[in-house]
Parts: sequence; structure tokens; C-alpha cells
Amino acid sequence: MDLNQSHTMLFQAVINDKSVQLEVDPRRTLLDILREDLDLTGAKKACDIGTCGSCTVIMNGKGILACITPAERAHGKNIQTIEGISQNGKLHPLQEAFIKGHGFQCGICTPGFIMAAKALLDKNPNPTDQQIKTALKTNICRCTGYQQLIESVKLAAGQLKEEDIKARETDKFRIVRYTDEEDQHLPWAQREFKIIGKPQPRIESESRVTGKAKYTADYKIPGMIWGVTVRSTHTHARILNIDTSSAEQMAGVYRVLTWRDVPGENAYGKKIRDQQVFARDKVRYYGEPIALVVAETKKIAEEAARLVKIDYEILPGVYDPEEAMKPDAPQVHEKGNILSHYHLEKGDIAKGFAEAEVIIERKYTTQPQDHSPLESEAALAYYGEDGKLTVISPGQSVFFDRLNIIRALGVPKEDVRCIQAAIGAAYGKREAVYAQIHAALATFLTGKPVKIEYSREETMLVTTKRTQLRTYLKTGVKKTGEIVALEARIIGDAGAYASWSLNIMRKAGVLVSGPYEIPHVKVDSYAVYTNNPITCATRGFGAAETEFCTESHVDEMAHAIGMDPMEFRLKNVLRRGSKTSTDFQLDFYVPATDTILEADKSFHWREKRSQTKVVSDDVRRGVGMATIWYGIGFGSGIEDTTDVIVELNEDGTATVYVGTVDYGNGSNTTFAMLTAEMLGLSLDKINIVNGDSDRTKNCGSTVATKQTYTTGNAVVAACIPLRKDIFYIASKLLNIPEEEVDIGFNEAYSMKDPDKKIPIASLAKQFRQFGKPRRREGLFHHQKLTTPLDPKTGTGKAWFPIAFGTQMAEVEVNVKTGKVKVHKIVAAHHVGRALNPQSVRGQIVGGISFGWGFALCEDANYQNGIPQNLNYDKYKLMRSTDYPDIEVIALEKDEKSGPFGAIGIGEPPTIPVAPAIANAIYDAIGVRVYDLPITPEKVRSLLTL
Amino acid sequence: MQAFDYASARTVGEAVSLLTQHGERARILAGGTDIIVQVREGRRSVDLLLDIKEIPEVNQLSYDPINGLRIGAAVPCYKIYEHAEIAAVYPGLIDAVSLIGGIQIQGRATLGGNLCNASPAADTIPALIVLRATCLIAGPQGTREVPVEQFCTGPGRTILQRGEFLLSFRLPPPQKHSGARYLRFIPRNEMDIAVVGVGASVVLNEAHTRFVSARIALGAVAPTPLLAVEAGEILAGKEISEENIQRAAEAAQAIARPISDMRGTAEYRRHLVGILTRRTLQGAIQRAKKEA
Ligand SMILES: Cc1cc2nc3c(=O)[nH]c(=O)nc-3n(C[C@H](O)[C@H](O)[C@H](O)COP(=O)(O)OP(=O)(O)OC[C@H]3O[C@@H](n4cnc5c(N)ncnc54)[C@H](O)[C@@H]3O)c2cc1C
Ligand code: FES
Ligand code: FES
Repeated sequence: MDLNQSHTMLFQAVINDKSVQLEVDPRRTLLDILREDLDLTGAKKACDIGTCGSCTVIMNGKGILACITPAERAHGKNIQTIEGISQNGKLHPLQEAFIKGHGFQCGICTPGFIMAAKALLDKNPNPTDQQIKTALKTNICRCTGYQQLIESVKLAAGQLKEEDIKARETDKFRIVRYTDEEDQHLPWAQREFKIIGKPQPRIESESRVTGKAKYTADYKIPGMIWGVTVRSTHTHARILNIDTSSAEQMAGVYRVLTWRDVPGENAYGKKIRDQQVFARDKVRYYGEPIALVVAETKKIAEEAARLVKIDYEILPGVYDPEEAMKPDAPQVHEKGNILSHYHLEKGDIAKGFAEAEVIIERKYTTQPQDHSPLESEAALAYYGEDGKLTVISPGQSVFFDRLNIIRALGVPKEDVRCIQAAIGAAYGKREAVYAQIHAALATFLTGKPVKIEYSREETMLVTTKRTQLRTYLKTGVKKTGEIVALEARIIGDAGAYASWSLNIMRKAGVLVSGPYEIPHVKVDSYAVYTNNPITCATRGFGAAETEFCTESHVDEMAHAIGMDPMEFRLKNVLRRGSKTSTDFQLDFYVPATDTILEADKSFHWREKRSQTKVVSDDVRRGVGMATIWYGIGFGSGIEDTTDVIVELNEDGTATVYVGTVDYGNGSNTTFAMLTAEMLGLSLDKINIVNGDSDRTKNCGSTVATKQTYTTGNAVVAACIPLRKDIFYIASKLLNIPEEEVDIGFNEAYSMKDPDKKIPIASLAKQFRQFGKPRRREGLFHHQKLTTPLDPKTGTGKAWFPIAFGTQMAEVEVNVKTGKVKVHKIVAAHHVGRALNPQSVRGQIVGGISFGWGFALCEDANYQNGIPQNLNYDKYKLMRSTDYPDIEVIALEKDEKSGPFGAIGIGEPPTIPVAPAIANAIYDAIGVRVYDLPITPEKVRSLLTL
Repeated sequence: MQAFDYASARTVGEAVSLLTQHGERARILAGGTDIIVQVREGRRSVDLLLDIKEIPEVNQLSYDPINGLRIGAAVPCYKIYEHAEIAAVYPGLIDAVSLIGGIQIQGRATLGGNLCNASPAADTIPALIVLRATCLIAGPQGTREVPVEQFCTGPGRTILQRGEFLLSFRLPPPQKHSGARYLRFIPRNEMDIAVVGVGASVVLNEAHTRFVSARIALGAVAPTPLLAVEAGEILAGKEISEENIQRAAEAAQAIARPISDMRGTAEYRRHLVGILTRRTLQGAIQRAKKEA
């Protein structure tokens, strides 16, 4: 009998073919031992309760979850981790396949998936699709939507060939190109592309599939100490006293920081800086930071945090945004609960409704979705070798993080450097600041490296959510099918602080009219403070929430006048020459119609619609569609200058300095491709320096689907003079006219005589001789393309460019249980140009999975302001066994202001999913759900009525 | 995580004496898929985690047509469904066993853990009940055997007394013309906790026209999984008909005592009991017909 009371054991195991011996506490998990003691950080800790698979390793031949395996159980075993599966520097076939198959985006789930897939293939080298899905169902991927991930496994199993995946047209993905006369005059019209438009692996691929990529939590610095946040345990309360004395006396505690310790401003935020670094007099949401305990170990800090005593006077809270608008509601801030009001008026709304023959009026509600990037919040601060206070974190903009940090510390910007680590995705959540300021402050005051790591539960409790909306929508339509009037009143729950809510609710107010030409429009859109968690930009923000309403409504209008919903949309959508709801005249190609027609080509709308609805006694099938629009970038004339440096190095490589953050969206690869194309280099010659406030200039945040377009344009702008000089120097050195020169694959050559050629590297060395700089700056001023909205009417050039897309969905509804299964989604989105086709496809499929969750199951579930679903046992994300058959159509038609015609595609695919599904449910069973998510119980309850 | 001790027992006697010594503050560690998470989340506090994996009796897995099936409490799920003969003879058990978590969970999670964790929504318990499984319990006074339906006494609570633990399950060999099925309702396709789970087993007459007997058990609709005695008895001797199946389903609904929570309201759960009882009965009948 072994009774272990000493709390240590000699842990022995063979790990990646090496025997390991360690003294450990047998209660610790295998995951902690791998990550903390052995520095094998490939296995990730995304949930720590056995629900996500990110910690999967192979133990004695079986895939297991290291986070729920006690050390004692791993003792004596043979363990393989992601770090151990490549042999002699050669990647394992699964690792190769995940690179070629675009099986990852942010990469944080990838080691877990590869290990789970390896456990499967080791046992069953030729699995069926269903067996693959089943083998991977423990593992969550938030980014990819599983399609390319599963294809990668099939690639490794030899069931698919690389060409099968990469073709321009397969049964899962096709690119259709539209051109017109105008396009012939584009500067790149005659060019044959060497890099862009061809599938390229992510430049960071290898680090993602080998587990080498370091996410913030994976960093360890000698002498590092820990910070743990003390948080409010009330949603709304006055702070009477903060007593840190017992905590401070605990052995191992360095400091307990509160508002008193903030040397600069105790405030931060986006436009309105109303958040407190540490709450001072009042807390406004559950979990608001009040203090930070800084101690030698995380455990000590956690224990000390429990000793910080806070006396509160509890105040009544307000948790419903409509309630909060009432005059007698509890006031969250002194200035009142209404944070912003956007008013839009076009035409004459009364006249519009007078002309209408059918009027429909509905109320819709949407829920707080959690972005749920699989990486929990973390930050690490330290003094770098250059003596600078350096902060590593997964934020969406190093410049925004730095701005907030320097203001809190009261130091000039030169004193602080922010760096992005590898990021386990963001989707808008990280437009807000979490642990960064606290870590910076702790290092500032102690001089020591300080790390803060939130658990999954802490992350989901205190980080931002998608804004929940109450939308009252009224429309008037003629029997002939023209929409003549639209009136909307939208109330958005900002939560306790402003963050991004102003932008979100302005966007909501503009986009609620949908991609339609409507002569008479009136909208009032409010952001309202409550004591709920703060809200922030979330994939498709302002649009996914409102266009669910619009597109459900459009469907209802079509049915009310007896018109096919597709015909109805085709009749009303914006086209060349139309005016948008903000009175912006679109004097250019508008892809809305073509997205509908392309989706139809794959989906066969009319045919599918006329099929029988009855599948079996219990099951009905139905089809639905939605067409959406979405503004790219900030719009409304809001300042957004992007500043990029490209340097052609003398060895024939190029370095691109971009201030953007790539959190899995693939922007670094896009910028590398643009540079390679412009400078005639191969992709491996491009180095990207990004996400570093010291080494790059500001490129704004990675948000609003804007980086391909804005930073892409700046990269091209920086490359244009370099390209010109390359041509010039080549013509001189080759002694041929410039028109005869072409470049590509690291050479400049004569188009007439291919023997006349010279490596770009040799050319680069000559730049100085020719008096040409090798380093160029590229600027792009996005604000110049839009105008501020008129403060009285809300009209103006709200966004440019505008993304359009259409999705069609086929669902089955079980009328006995109310359960909805989405069978198929066809998604046609205008992308301008698919610079990296498989990456575009990945963004679209991933966006659909995000929308699927928003439609059917994801809900942070606030109870009196406290989110209840704090981990993946309760917060439901799509899994491999859920994903529908998805077919993607990338509609290309060059946007002449974009880099080689491209616009962005990060968010639009999320927007049409919920209304397409809701409309398909209506088609199947004749009832409509007006509030998301569409749970089985809601559907079922409508059927009993 | 809180402080506790680890121990590993090699014999039943060792385990019993440690459990007797520590009482309520000691818990068995089987696959750990419930207990490790509960301790981490502070939902359960323990002084001692007792690993029983080394005890031979809890690892047995054997079947023969005379004595039926013996499953040690610590046998992980995958060993059960990968055992071809067991899978063929007890498909109703496999229904439940293969539902628990994903592959990585099934490599560790045990039947014993699923029962002793005593969650009202545990998937294997209704399946075990309808298969007339019994539990062999070891304790200071020796061993005792109780039917599975008597084992749980409330959420997270069981009849185990100080010093006792679950050794194994015994399932009688299936009778002729019998079949069993377990189904649950979850909002996604897989990887969820049951909103409602229903198990059913039937024995048919030789002509496959009548029920000789039937058992129905319900999960997630009461503080413990329930044997719906009446719902089964209604069918004894009755003709196989939609009408009779419906009557059994209504009887099952009547005994369900669901609560409303985030996974579903009481009303919805009661409604689902009706739907699932019909479906599981139909499934069980189909299997019985094949087993002729
Ligand atoms: C991702 C995930 C998905 C899951 N999905 C499901 C699901 O679909 N359906 C479902 O029902 N459950 C599910 N579970 C819960 C869990 O996996 C099962 O309940 C499992 O069967 C528990 O077995 P275990 O061996 O891991 O138990 P352990 O965690 O080792 O033990 C569970 C409890 O039983 C006690 N115990 C164990 N063995 C004995 C014994 N022999 N005698 C006395 N007491 C004992 C332990 O002390 C503990 O209190 C899931 C869990 C996770 C993490
Ligand atoms: S971290 Fe282990 S399963 Fe999520
Ligand atoms: S790539 Fe899977 S979670 Fe990001």
C-alpha cells in the first residue's frame, strides 16, 4: 500500500523516446509537468477540464487528455507529444498534411488535433470520414470550421491529393472571376501573377504544426513572478474599503496593487476612456479588477488574493438594456445610461409607409456570444535587454495596448514596447485590453518579470462579449415586391463600459437596412450601459446581430406578398447606381446580385425549394437564404492611416515591417505574397516583422476585415518604387529597354531572350550605386475614402469598400424534439481577388462555423449580469461531428482600389448564417424564431402553440 | 488545487481499510474524468484519492452465455465496446458506453466511475438498469450485491457506506427474444450531457407479437436515474402496438420529476421522455426481433 503524504513522487516516464525522471507532486497533472517542468509547451491548456482536446498527447499508444491525467497515472508510461513526432528534422506526414491542407489558422488547437489524428491513423490508417470526425470530436477548433482540418487528415492518410484540394474548382470550393471593360485598365490587368492567386502555405506553418510556436502562456523568463487579479464579487457596488494588509503579509507576496499604485491615469478604453485600471469607488460589473497580487508563485498569489478584503455597499443593478433606458433605472455611470444614439433618416418615412401595401413589424433579440478564442488571456511584462519595459500579449493591436499602458504608467511611449506573441485567435475580443496594463504596472513597480495567466473560467467571466441587441423592425412593401420603407429602433447592451459599443451601434444602425435599395429609412440605434459584461467588436459586429433581423424580415415580406424569397431579394438588392440607406450612391460594380446567382448555381434554389418537406414522420426539411453587406474598415471618415516599411536586402531577401497582428487570419502570409509578387521574389525570401511597437509603424488594429485591404495597400505602395527601381536597374545591367524586363522567382530577365537574366540579389547590391534607396515607406489613408456621417441625418459615405455575400442553407428539423440539423450551406462571397485561395476558403468556412454557433447554441447566458457558461462543458461550440457540408464560392471582381483587386473576407461569412438557418427552419415547419440562439426547446415550443 | 493525499491499493483489503480510515474524505480514483475535474473546480473536496487500478478484481472483463457479463468497476469504456462478443450480445450497453465523451475520454472513463459519480444524467446508468445489472460492493463486512437501480440516492450520492467501494457489475445473459436500447437527447450531434436519457429492454414472445416483459429507465429527470417500474409493467403480456408503446411512454412521463435548468425546462424534459421512450422501445423491439 502506498500512502503518499509527502506530496512528492519520483516520476519516471519515457517522453518522446527519452527517459525522464523528476521529483513531482503526484497531484499535478501530466499537462502541468509537460508544460512547466519539461518545457514541452506544444500541448495547450485551453480548458483544463477535459473538454477541448488541446492537451492531447499519446500515452502507451492511446490519445489521452493530459489536463485530466494525474502525474501518478502517467508514471512509468511511454508518452509522445507533438514535439516528438518529427524524426531527424523531418516533419511527420500529418504535420506536412496540416501545412499543405491549410488545416489550421491560429494554430493553438493544432498540436492537439495532430496528436488525436495520429492516435487514429496509427490504429486505422484508412479511416472513413465518419471515423475521422468521431476520433476528433473531443477536440475543439474555433477557427477553421473543421473542413480543411479533416481534409488535412485525409491528405495524410493518402485519401486526398494535394491537387484535389488546391484546384480552382472542386466540389467544395470554386473561384469565379468576373471582369468587365473597366478592369482592362487596371495597372495589373496584363500581368501574369507568379505568387498571388496561387495557394500558398502559411509562412508560419512549421512553428504551428510542431508545437514550437510560443503563445504568451508558453513563455518563461528567469526570475519571473506572478500576478493574480482580485475581482469584484458584485455587479454594481460602491467600494467602501480595500484592505490588502493580510495579503501583503503573506510570505512570497511582493506587492498588492490597487488604484493607489497607478502612477498615471487610472483609466483606459477605446474612444471613451471610462474603464478603470483598478476600480476605485465603484464596481460596475462582476469580476471588475480591484487589485493585483504580485507574488513569487501563482499559487501564493492566488492564496493571497483570497485575503484581500473588500467592503462594498451593494447597489441595485440593471441588466436589461431596455430597462436601463428608463429614467428611474439604476445609473451605471453618472452621465446616464445612454452612451450613444445614432439617428439615420433618409427620404420621408411616413410617406414610405403610406405607399406600402403590406407592413410587417417584429421584435428580435440576439444574445451575448463569447468570441471564445481557445487561448485564454495572458500577459508577460519584463525589462528587455534594451532597458525597456516590454509586454508580450495576445492583443489585437500592439499600438493600442501601448497607448493604454503608457497612459496608466504616465511614461512616454519610448519607454514601453509591446510585442505580440503567437496568438490563439481573437475575433474581436482582443480589441480590448485585459492583463496587459496590470502586468506592465507590476513590472514597473517591482522591476521583475511578471506573468499573468487567466484560467478559461476567468477569461470567460471577465472578457468582452458580442453586444446583445433588441431590435424593433418595421418595413413596408408593395405587392409588386418593392421595399418602400424601413424603420428600426435598436437597443444595444454596451455592458458596464463603452469599449467599442459606439462603433458597433453605429454600424448596426447603418447595416440594419440590409443590402437593399430602400427609399425611406429611419433608424435609431442606441448603445446603453448596463451592469453586464463589457461588449466589444465580434466577428461581423453590428451586422450579424442586425442582419439576422433584416434577413428574417425580408423573408417574411417575400412570403407575405407571395414572392419567392430569392426573386424578392434580386428585385431589391443594391446594384450599380443604387443609393444605400445612408444615401451613398454606388457608382461602381455592386456584387450583391452576382453572389445570389452564384450561390443559386451551386445550391439549385428553386429545385430544392420545391422538394417535399417531409423526410419522415418526425423530420421536415427546408431551405433558406440570406444576402448581406458589411463595411470594411472603420468608415465614416474615421482616421485610419496605415504605415508600412518594405526593405529589399542585399542578399535578395525582403523585410516587411507591418504593425499589424496576425492572430491566425493569415495576414502575414498575404503581405509576404504581395511583396514577393511585387519584387519578383519567391515567398521564402520574405521576412515579416510584425506586431512590435518598436520595430514597426502603426497599421491599426486587425479588425473590421480591413487588414488585407488597408495594410495590403500600404505594402503594395511601399513596393511600387522598389519595383520601379528593380526594373530600371535591370534594364541598365542587362542592357535592354525597361519594357522588355520582367521579374519573378528571384530573377530579373528579358522577356525576349530568357538567357539575359540577373538574380534580384545581384540587383539589390547595385541599388546604392544607382542612388536608389532599398528601404521604402508605404502609406494608405483609408479615411479618405469615406466621409463623416451627417450629425443630423446620419447620412454619408459610411464605408468603402463594402463586402457582399449570399448564403443558402438546407436544414432538417425534428418536429418532435425541435432539434435542427444544418445539412448544407452554400456560401458565395465577393472577395475582390482571392490572393491566397485556400486561406480565403478557410476564412469563409471558419466564419460560417462562428455563425452556426451564434445561430444555434452559443450563449454566455447572463444571470443578473453574471455569465454562467464559463467553460466548454457549458458553452457550446461547433465540433467535428456537427459541421455541415459547406461549399464556398469566392466571387472575384477586382476592387480597383484594393491590392491587386482584393478586399477582406474575415467577418462577412459569419453574418448570413443565422438568418439563412432561421429562414430554412421557417421553410421546413412554418414557424419563425425571432430570438437567438435557436435552441431545440424554442423551436419545439413554437410547434405546440 | 487543494491539498490531498494519493494512495494506491493493490488488494481489496487494502482499499477497504484505507476507505474505512478516511471515511467521506476519501474518494476512489478510477479514470479520473469526473473526479479530477471536480477537485480542480473545487466542487468536491477530498483528503485522499485512492487509486484502485492495481486491484485485479476491478479490472476483470468476462462474458459467457451461462453466467453473463462481469465488468470490473475500473474497466475503461473502450475495452467494453472493442470487445466483439460483448458488443454483439449487449448492444444496449454499447449504446451508452460509446456515447461518453470522445475517444480520449473513453480510454479512461469507467462504468464504475459513471455510476459512483451518481450524476442524474449519467448515460450508462439507465442502460445498466434495464439490463438488470447488479453491483458487487466490497466493504468491511465482506461483499454485498445490489441492483443498479438502488445504488444512487441523490445527485452525487450513493448507498456506499464507510469503507465500501464498487468492485464490479454483473449482467445476466440476455434472454431469448430480448433486446435493449439506450438513447439520449442533446442539442448538438455529440459531446453533450443528456437533457434526457432513456433506456429500454424488452423480452418478446416467440412469435414476436407480444411483450413478455419490459423495463424502462430514465436519466436526467429526477435526482437519480429512475427505473420506471410501471411503464415497463404496463407492457407485460401486451401486444406490440403503437398504442401500447404510447401508454408506456405516458407512464414514463408520469413518473419523471424533472427540474428546469439551463439545459431544458421541466416541461420540455417531460415531453422528451415521451418521445425517447417510444423511440427506445421501438429500437429495443427491433433488436429483439433480430435476436430470435
Ligand atoms: C469531455 C467529457 C465528456 C463526458 N461525457 C459524458 C457523457 O457523454 N455521458 C456521461 O455519462 N458522462 C460523461 N462524462 C463524465 C465522465 O467521463 C463519466 O462519468 C465517466 O464514466 C466517469 O468515469 P471515471 O472512471 O473517469 O470516474 P472517476 O472520475 O475516476 O470517478 C468518478 C466518481 O466515482 C467514484 N468512483 C469511481 N470508481 C469507484 C468505485 N469503484 N467505487 C466507489 N467509487 C468510485 C469516484 O470517487 C468519483 O467520485 C464526460 C466527461 C468529460 C470530461
Ligand atoms: S486543456 Fe485538456 S481538454 Fe482542454
Ligand atoms: S486554428 Fe483551431 S482554434 Fe485556431
